[in-house]
Amino acid sequence: VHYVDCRGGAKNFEEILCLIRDGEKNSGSLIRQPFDYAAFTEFNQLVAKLQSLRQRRAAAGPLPGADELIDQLFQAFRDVLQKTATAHVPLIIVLDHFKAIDPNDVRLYLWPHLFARIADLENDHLRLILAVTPAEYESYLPRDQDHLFECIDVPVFSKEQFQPLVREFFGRLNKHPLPDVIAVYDKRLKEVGVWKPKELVNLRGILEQWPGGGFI
Amino acid sequence: MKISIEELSKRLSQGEDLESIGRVFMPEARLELLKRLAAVRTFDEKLVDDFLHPGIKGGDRDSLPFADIVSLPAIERLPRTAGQYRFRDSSRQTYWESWWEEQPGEPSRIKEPDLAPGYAVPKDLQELSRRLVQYFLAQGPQGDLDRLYYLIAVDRDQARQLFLQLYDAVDQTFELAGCRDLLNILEERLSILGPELSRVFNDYRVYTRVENDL
Repeated sequence: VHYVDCRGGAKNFEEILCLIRDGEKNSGSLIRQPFDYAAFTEFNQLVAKLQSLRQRRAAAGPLPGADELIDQLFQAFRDVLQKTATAHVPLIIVLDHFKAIDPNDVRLYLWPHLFARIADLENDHLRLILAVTPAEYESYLPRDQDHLFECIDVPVFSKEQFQPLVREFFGRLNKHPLPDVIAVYDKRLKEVGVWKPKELVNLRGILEQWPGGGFI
Repeated sequence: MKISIEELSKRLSQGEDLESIGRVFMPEARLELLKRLAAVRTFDEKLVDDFLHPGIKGGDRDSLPFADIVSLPAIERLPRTAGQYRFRDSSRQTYWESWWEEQPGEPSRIKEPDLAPGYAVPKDLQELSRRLVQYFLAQGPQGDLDRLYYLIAVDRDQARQLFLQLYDAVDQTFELAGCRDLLNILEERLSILGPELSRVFNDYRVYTRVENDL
C-alpha cells in the first residue's frame, strides 16, 4: 500500500504525481515510503519540461502546445506503476485529502490520464483508492464513468461494530481500556444506534485523562 | 474536574458527545493551551513556546511539554513538514468557539456592535493574532498566507487589502493553485470574515472558477 496525504497547499496535477512518486521518507510509516526515484527518470525529465512551459505561459487556462508533452508524461508515470505492480508485489495507491487538488486538474488530466487508465488497465495487481468526502465525490468524479470505479460509502458505523473496533483500535495501541468506560458508551450506542470513527479517538482522550488511569 | 462512571453515563444520556465530555475534566492549563492552539493555523514547537505558553498559569513548556501536546488525539502532524502540526478539523470547532465563552466576573469582550456577535473577535484573540501577524511579517513572502490568516482576526480592512494584493500577484502568473491557497485561507476564517470580506471571498471564488474553466 502506498498512501499519499495530499494536504499542504493547493496542487496541480504534476505536483500530485510527484507526491505519489516521493512519498514521505521521514514519516516513519511503511505505507508512505517513496518509490525508487531512478525508475522515474523519463517522467522527471518531462515534468521539468512542463514546468518550464508553465513559467513561460502568457495566459490562463490549458497550457498551449503541451498536450503531447502531458500525454508522454502520464505514459511515463503509468509505465513505472505498471512495472512496479506485480503478482508478487501488488500495489494499492491511496490518495487522501483530495481537497488540495484542483478540481479542473482532476477533470482534465488526472481522471482521463491516470485514474480512468488504472481502472481500465488489465493489470489486476494495480489498484487506486480515492478517499473523498461526499462533497468531493460530487465535484471531482465524473458520473458518466462510474462504471470504472466502485463507490464504498463509509458514513457511520453500526452499534454492532463498536466492540470489535474498540478491540482492534486499542489493540494496535497495545492498550486495554477500562471495561466499565467502554460498557457505558456501548450502552449509549444501543440507544442512538450509530457512531462515527472519531469517537474512538475521543474515547482514547478520555481514558488518558481518567482518574486513576483509564487503561489496565 | 474529576469524572466517574456515573457522571459519564449521565452526560452521555443527556446527549453530550465524547469530545465535549473529555474537555470538561481536562486540567485548566491544558484546556487554555488547546483553546490557543485552535486559533492558530499550524504550529511548531517554537511558535508554541514563544506565543502560546506565555500567560498560562501552570502551563509553561515544562508542565505541558510539546511532545505531550502533539500526541493528543485532537492534534495531527502535517505531511512532508519538519515538525509542523495542526488541530484536526473534526476537533477544532469546540475549542475555537470557547474563545467566545464569557468569563465569570468579566464584562463582555465583544466590542464591535456593528457586527453580528459571531463575527466579533474577542480582544485576547485579537491580541494573540496581532503578535502572530508580526511574527509572519518578519518571515517575508513565505509567511504571507499565515499573515493573512491572522490579520483577518485583527483588522479586516487591512486583511482585504492584503488578500487583493496577494491574489493579484499570483493571478499574474496564471497559477490557479496559488489563488486557491488564498481562497482557502478566507474559507478557514469564514466565521469571522465579516460582511465585506465575505463578499470578496464569494466574488473571487466565482472569478477563480470562471478563470479555471477558460
